[in-house]
Amino acid sequence: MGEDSRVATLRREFEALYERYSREVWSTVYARWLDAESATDITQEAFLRLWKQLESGETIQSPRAWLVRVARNLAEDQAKSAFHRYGTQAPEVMNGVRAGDPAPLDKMERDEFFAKIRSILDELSVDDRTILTLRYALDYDSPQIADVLGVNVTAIHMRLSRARQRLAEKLAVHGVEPKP
Amino acid sequence: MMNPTHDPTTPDDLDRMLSAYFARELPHPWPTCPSVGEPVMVQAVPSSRVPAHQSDSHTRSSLTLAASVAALLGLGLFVSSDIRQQPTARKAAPDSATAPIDLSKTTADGSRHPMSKQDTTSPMR
Repeated sequence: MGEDSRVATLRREFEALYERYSREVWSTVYARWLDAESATDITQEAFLRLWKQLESGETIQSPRAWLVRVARNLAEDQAKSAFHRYGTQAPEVMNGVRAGDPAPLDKMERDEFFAKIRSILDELSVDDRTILTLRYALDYDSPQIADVLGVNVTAIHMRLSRARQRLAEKLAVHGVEPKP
Repeated sequence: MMNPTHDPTTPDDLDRMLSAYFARELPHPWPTCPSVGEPVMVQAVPSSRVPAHQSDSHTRSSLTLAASVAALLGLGLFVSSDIRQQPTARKAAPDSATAPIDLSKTTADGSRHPMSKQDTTSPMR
């Protein structure tokens, strides 16, 4: 009965960690590869590995940092595997390619527009993508982003401003008007 | 397009575009926490599925007792009806067991016909 109680307590802690950090882990992976599905799978896998560590009695000082590190490694492994399977065509390029009946025109245009945004984001650095993802996907403010990235708030203000600037320049180069 | 002195509290087109982009990318609903460390539950067999002969001994004893009483009663009825028939049944031919007894039949001289043994094959009630 003692073991059951220990596992139950551990499971509650694990669920709390998931609630607290899963979105941040997802954002980190997404920023790396711009692939939502892969980011979801890798996030789940990273948490399963965290569970194994916790269950074995390992103490993890900073779960967030540990999760992000594991998730990044998993993302790198997956990218290498995808390269071998698909060649130079990254998975995100194939997103939204469907056979069958044509979608309504406005939906197709919208899909095309956002596919273009994705390809332009891909031209930014991972650091720029990370800060933009935390800001716009999770709606984090600068102090929250600073906490995740482990830098001071002033640096975040500057990085965010520069990332936006670089993105705007690339959008202009590609002739893309930012429209909501 | 891009305001160099962008006020983060006032969203511009770029902010709105990026918000819309990431809203499409985020999983909806958010994936649930992986199931970990769940104990394996062994389900007990419901009592309604337990065969009758495995019910508790008290019920079994009661049923056995009731059956015994019923058997004894039945035997008693049989024996008592047999005893009532016995005075005339003794005179009956051993093999004349099927003919019913007609107590109203008398011989011309008033003596009674010998009664045949009551049919012992009739079912007891």
